[in-house]
Amino acid sequence: MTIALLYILLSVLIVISIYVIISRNLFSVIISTTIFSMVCALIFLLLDAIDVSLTEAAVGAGISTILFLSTIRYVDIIATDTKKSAVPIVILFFLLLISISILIYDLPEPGKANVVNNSQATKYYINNSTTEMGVPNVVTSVLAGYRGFDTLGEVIVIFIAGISVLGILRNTKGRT
Amino acid sequence: MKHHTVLRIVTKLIIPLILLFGLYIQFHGDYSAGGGFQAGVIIASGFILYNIIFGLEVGFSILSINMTKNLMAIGVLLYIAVGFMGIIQGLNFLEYNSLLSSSKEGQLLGIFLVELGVGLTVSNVMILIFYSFNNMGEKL
Amino acid sequence: MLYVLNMTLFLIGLFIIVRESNLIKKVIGLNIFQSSVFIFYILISKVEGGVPPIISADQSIYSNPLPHVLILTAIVVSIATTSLALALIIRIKDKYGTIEEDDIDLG
Repeated sequence: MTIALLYILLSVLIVISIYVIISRNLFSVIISTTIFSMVCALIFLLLDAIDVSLTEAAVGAGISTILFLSTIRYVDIIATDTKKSAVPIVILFFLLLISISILIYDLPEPGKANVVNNSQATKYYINNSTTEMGVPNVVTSVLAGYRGFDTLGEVIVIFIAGISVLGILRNTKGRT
Repeated sequence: MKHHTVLRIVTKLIIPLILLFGLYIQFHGDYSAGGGFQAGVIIASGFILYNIIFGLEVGFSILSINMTKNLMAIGVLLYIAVGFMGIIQGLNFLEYNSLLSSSKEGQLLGIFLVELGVGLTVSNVMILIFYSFNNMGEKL
Repeated sequence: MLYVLNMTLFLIGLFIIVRESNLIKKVIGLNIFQSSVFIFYILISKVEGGVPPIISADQSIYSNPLPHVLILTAIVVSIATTSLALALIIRIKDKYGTIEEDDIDLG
């Protein structure tokens, strides 16, 4: 049942991204991106990733849409068609798709991979998260406790992004 | 958009709930889905909604760019300060064992403070980016 | 077979980045590309018969939490990249007058 739903939702994602290629109205493309993020959040929820689903829904469908719509105020809404020809790129990507499919043929179906990727680190974190840290949510205890240094790097990256945007957009003229 | 009555009234009803939900997600990250990042983004979304409906000037008088920049830096400094508490007592950087009496209590306090720092920084960065995209960069 | 659909999404994202001439559409293609990589990581982390990784007394099989941690960081970094790219697009429109890549005259 889960696998069938996943097939349907991934097909919906492919249809939305083909619409992004075809459409020339930037406003409808941006709303399609919001729908894309919501369907992605639904896929993450079906795969038992609740933290990731909450973050993707808040970030992709909330903040990202606002930023795109604020940018549209400065530019034209109709995008022109490109002058490059699509045929060589499509042929190349079709060959790439065939070669990637041959390479990932050996991966097991989602769900049966527990034999492969339950490594020693995963077993240690799941067994010792409540006794050492007292925190039942394993993702939070790994993010802020066992691997807190990576989270420090991530906070610094988003801080740098904030002050860079402030510095880039300080002297812009008003909207067109 | 202040003259749209329905939007104004619904916003006034919903924004306290959004901010309360953001605080719930921040402090219950230990027991269910949540944590600093999600809470930061949700609180920023609530504040951005207020700015869209009632105008940028009103929102700017509540939270100016100076305040946003200061809170952003305080979040990162809080994280690094928690890390340095370990070095003061002779252990490694970011080791929470020495913060309180027992090791488990120390870990809980350390995770609480670290997630608070992350939530502060992320929410203020999102609000600052929103202000910059709407030409408020000069009004320090 | 699910992985083939995922790789199709990956290649569609790459196609949008390479072929489209409008800069905002390129950034949207980058978002689609990144989302397909996130879906791939979360697909390989699911365990059949498992529950979300929150420890409770009466469950014993949990989904693998380590890819969740990686993807959480990656989502936040992706929004930082997107916001910087959009800020640069606004400046490009200021300076060159257009955001179509074919029409920008660097001379």
